[in-house]
Amino acid sequence: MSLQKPDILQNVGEIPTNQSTSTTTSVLDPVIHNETMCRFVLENKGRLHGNSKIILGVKATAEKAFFPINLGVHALINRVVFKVGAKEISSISDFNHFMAYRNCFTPNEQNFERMSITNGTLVDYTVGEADGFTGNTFINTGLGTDTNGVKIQEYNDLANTPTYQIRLVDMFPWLGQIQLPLYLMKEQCAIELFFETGIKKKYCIPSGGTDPASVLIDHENTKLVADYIYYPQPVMDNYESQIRQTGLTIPILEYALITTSLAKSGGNEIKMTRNVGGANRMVSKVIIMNSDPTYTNTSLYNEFGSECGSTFSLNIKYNNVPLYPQAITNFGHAFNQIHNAEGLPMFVAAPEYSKQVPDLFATTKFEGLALNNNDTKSPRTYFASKLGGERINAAGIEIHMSMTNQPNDLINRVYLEQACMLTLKDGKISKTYV
Amino acid sequence: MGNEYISVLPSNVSSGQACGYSSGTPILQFKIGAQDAFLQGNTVRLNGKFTKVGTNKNNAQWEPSLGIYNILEQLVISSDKTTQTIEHIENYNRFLASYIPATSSENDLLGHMNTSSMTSFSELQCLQYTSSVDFSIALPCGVLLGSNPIPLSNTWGLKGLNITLTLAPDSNVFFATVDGKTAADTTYQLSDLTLTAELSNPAAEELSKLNSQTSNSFDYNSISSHFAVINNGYATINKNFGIKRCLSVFANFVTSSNINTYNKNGMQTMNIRQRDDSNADITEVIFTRNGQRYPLDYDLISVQRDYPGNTSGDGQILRNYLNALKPFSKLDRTTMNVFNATNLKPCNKLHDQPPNVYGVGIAYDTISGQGVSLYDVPFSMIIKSSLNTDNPTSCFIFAHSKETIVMNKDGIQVLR
Repeated sequence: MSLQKPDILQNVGEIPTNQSTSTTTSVLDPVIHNETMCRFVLENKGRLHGNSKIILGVKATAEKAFFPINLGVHALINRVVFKVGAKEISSISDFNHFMAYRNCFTPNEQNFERMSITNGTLVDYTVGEADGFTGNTFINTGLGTDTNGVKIQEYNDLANTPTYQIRLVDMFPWLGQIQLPLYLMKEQCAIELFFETGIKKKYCIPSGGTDPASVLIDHENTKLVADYIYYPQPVMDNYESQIRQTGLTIPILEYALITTSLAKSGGNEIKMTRNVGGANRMVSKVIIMNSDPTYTNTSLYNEFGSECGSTFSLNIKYNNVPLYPQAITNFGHAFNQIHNAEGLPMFVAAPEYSKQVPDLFATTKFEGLALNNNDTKSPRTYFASKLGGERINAAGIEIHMSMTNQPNDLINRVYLEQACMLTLKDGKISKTYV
Repeated sequence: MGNEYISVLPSNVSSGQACGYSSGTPILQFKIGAQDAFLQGNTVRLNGKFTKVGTNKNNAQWEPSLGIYNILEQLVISSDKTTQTIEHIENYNRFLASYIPATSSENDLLGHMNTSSMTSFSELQCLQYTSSVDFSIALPCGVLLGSNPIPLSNTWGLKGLNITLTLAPDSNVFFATVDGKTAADTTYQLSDLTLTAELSNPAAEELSKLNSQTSNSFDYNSISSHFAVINNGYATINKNFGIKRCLSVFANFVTSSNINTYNKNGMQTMNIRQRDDSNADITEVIFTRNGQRYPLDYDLISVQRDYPGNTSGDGQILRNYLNALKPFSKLDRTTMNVFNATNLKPCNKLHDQPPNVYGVGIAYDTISGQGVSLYDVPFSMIIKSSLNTDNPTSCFIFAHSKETIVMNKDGIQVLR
């Protein structure tokens, strides 16, 4: 048998391949760390990978406690900031509320198999007939039940001082689109985390349990595991010379938070017409959440959720035109608008999104806590809308929303996803709005 | 290109009127008028409120994996101006009874589809829908699931779209499995119905380019539905599909006497059953085209042919079935598992067994997307089974094909 190349391959030359990409990992300690904030300073080398992780652990006393099950370790962080020099180029305020929304898009099986260990998120719906579940939905942790219902795993009990990790791309979503060329930056790059100051917002306790005497961040375990990517030197040099001549523009999306209180009327009704800004900006998405501050650490999601009474009406007006020809009043339609806006569905069961079918949840509890607060709450009623792609005029964006049968005052948070541009020139980075 | 949302009310139902099969409105029609814009098919949603009515409504269950889709018997998409049919899926709920469980996971059914489409994973959960519930569902079909935006223009488009839904009889939607209870007289009502979608408006420059075209074409996938009955152990099903680019064919089964009765779940996708409702194992499946084995040169022989006592589902048959619904390499979510595709039991008791997922099928082309011609050659499916009692089984067959519409200012032509 001949080993000659077939004719068709005779003229095929060498296919260029890049096999010399390398990754180095640095484990960085924070340069400042207290119970309020910590700061990491990145080394200006290579290109930063968005899947680099921040490790956070807690030290708690022996009482059983766990992070809000929809949020995990993200409950500890109130605000994240990416700084270059003295400039803040990206930040997310009320990060724990933002992640309570973002975590809804994680498929439940990932929560069960991965996130329960990596960041402490535990929501995984399943159905069962045994143990009183009677064919209805409950949250599965892989353990059986006891008198308090479903139990958490030992490694999720804060008394066992668990350590979790948070991806940088969760805090700064634009890092998923670009590997930041740190080696071209002359200024110091820093990541700052500002911790949640409300002690009881950080964790949940089982029904009948007692609050831990203390839940502190374990300073010894707080690390940034930074992955730096290197390409072959000629590639890095070539890239550098290109950027020196033309500069580098990095499009990013920023989540601007607008918060206000919503007071219910005597008839448990809330009506809101608010201008949330966005004037002259390219706003691609509006995310709306209404958290109930009366939730405590004996609610499975603590206060990191979103309520909206038993009926609602929503429309968004910008550029003098309503976004929807008719206000949305249908929970399913609102839910699908989130899918449309994010490109992914929320893995949220019906009783958590509306109060229309509360009994789909089993009566069996989770550490003694009812899944949707004894059918009185629908704690994950978020709203999101994709806008039409035009620039917002000087009048900004107006949100018209009303809800009925809302027993408590709410805190309304609106995140505007707006386009920005980072420009890297002469080793210095600047930020402009598109 | 700017986007805008539209909301369309049904054209044959008065505003505020409740409708349903037994309310005298078994057909719902939505018109999206001709306009110089593209319809984003994957954003089309049917929204409304679902209510169970009747003295036995609290006993009434439905096929949990289908949720609100149980009530949709036919879907017709046609051009609004020319009324030419673009896609027509009969037995739409039977098609979805294959499609949804095969391409959705437990967490899809209990999570986002539970919220928007009322799906679940246990028949018992259906009992909890005692009051009105909002729904908002996509309409999975070839035209709307395609990645190409749908041109609506009078000159370079489909001249508007007409989406017509035929509702299923109440007795083929509801049933009761809780011992001694009945779902008889349960009906359903739909209210506050709207069809919403997103349109893309081409920029002026692009619009002028489109307007200057004398003709335009639009490629899309299509599902066509066929029916046969199996009542012996050597069933030969012959069909002339009349389609030129067939991508796959798949079929699901239900005992005929289970259809349209309040006593049984008419939407189950179980294997062939004996008269006493025990398994009639499928032992061999052969697909032919023009009398020759195609695309497989061999017979699919299940483990039960040589080991009749074996209660496993056959991997080869089930893999080909899934592959016909979605290329197996891209199938990252499915409800099919060892509990619901093997050792199948009729769902007539309280249990947490997930909905059954079973069928047969074959993919003709999962690579090029161009398919094979079944236009003027017959398709045959031979199913050998251990069925030896008189128990007619309905076999719902669906052909997935690629089609093209050519359109100009005078009209449209569907090239099948």
